[in-house]
Amino acid sequence: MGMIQPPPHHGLLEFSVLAHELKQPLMVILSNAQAAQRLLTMATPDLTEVGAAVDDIIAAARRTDEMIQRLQAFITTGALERSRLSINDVIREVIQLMCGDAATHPIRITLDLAADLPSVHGDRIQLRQVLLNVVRNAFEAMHLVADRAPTLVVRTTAKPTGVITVTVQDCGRGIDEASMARLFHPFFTTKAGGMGLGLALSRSIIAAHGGWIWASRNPVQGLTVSFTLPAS
Amino acid sequence: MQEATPTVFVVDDEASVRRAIARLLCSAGLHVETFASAHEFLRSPQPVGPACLVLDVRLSGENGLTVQDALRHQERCLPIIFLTGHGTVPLCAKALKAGAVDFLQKPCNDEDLLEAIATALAQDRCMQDAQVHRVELHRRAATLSPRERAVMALVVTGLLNKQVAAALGTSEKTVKVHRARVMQKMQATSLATLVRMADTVGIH
Repeated sequence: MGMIQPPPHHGLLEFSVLAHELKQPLMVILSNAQAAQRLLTMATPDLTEVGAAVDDIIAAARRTDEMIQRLQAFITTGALERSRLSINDVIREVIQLMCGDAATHPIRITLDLAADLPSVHGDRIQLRQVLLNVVRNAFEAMHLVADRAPTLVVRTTAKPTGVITVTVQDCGRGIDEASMARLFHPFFTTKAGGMGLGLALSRSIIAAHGGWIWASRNPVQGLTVSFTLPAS
Repeated sequence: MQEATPTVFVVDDEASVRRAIARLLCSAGLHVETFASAHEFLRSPQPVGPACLVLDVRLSGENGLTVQDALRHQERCLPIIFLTGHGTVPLCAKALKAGAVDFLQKPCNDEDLLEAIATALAQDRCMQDAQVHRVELHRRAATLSPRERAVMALVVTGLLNKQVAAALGTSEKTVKVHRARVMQKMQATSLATLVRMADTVGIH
């Protein structure tokens, strides 16, 4: 239940549904409360119906609380389920998930993945969520750009020091300098209807893995989001 | 004529939300029917009396806007009130442009919802009345003889009896008789009314 349960269609967390998920029980609470108010003003109030409304209000309030608790638990403790994994595989998986066949996708996708990349000791689902957020942002940033061919470059590199770096580079509309500082802040968004949680949660996840995430404006156009992960 | 009870259809994929909205609308004296999916709603029999639809835009499986589109191709085009948990501006604009009565954000206030429903029901009543009126006018027009029809077609263009007579190759007196019978059969009280009627039934 709630936003922590993966939606059935692709089995992954979908943060954009969070608002809707929270507003459902709020709608239940408000409408039942107002229905009860109306029922109580009647000459002979149907108290059974008022009781049923109150029961539904209590259930919805508990559900809202549970959702918020799960969200908090997710953000703060991060409860990682670690295993040895190849970040290159996770990248391919996400691209496959978002584009189907990359060869026929309208956005040109270049995967420049280091062949000899060491494995990572990490939580596959959460790392997949980070990549999903970053790649989706990149896609959306390029969605409105008409004067150049949308191109996404995902690159992985490894340093001898055991640090793996993943970079996701788009040629979208980019982010203005003033907004850069707040890019990873919770509830900061440049998207209409965006929740501003995707990058904030991504930062928590990467931090829980002992890595860093940052963004930089490309010299010409678009944005590059990079993160590091320690090799296992 | 005794009017049939108005019905509010509520489509939301969450049972607790359906129950809450139904309870609220019932407490305001409305007759409510709920559906878990747009598909289920579209397959249900069409309402007899005035009706409207309260629809969650992000229904799982079907998008609310698709439903709006499907409804438009039905015989009865019900007015829709959209309810949404994350109404983005473009989505809202699209829905309103396509004829939605209102676009409300969850959780919405009872008064806003009830006001939107009242507007929607009034709109549907108007559309129904117009439909009934249209059927009745067609029925009346069907009782006209071919000659009366011809006279009506010319009269509504603003021709005088004399001119109509000339056009049809008959006497002014006969036109007068035909014209009186047209007014009577169509139950038109003035030439202006008759002109509007001709427009509705397509006599030109």
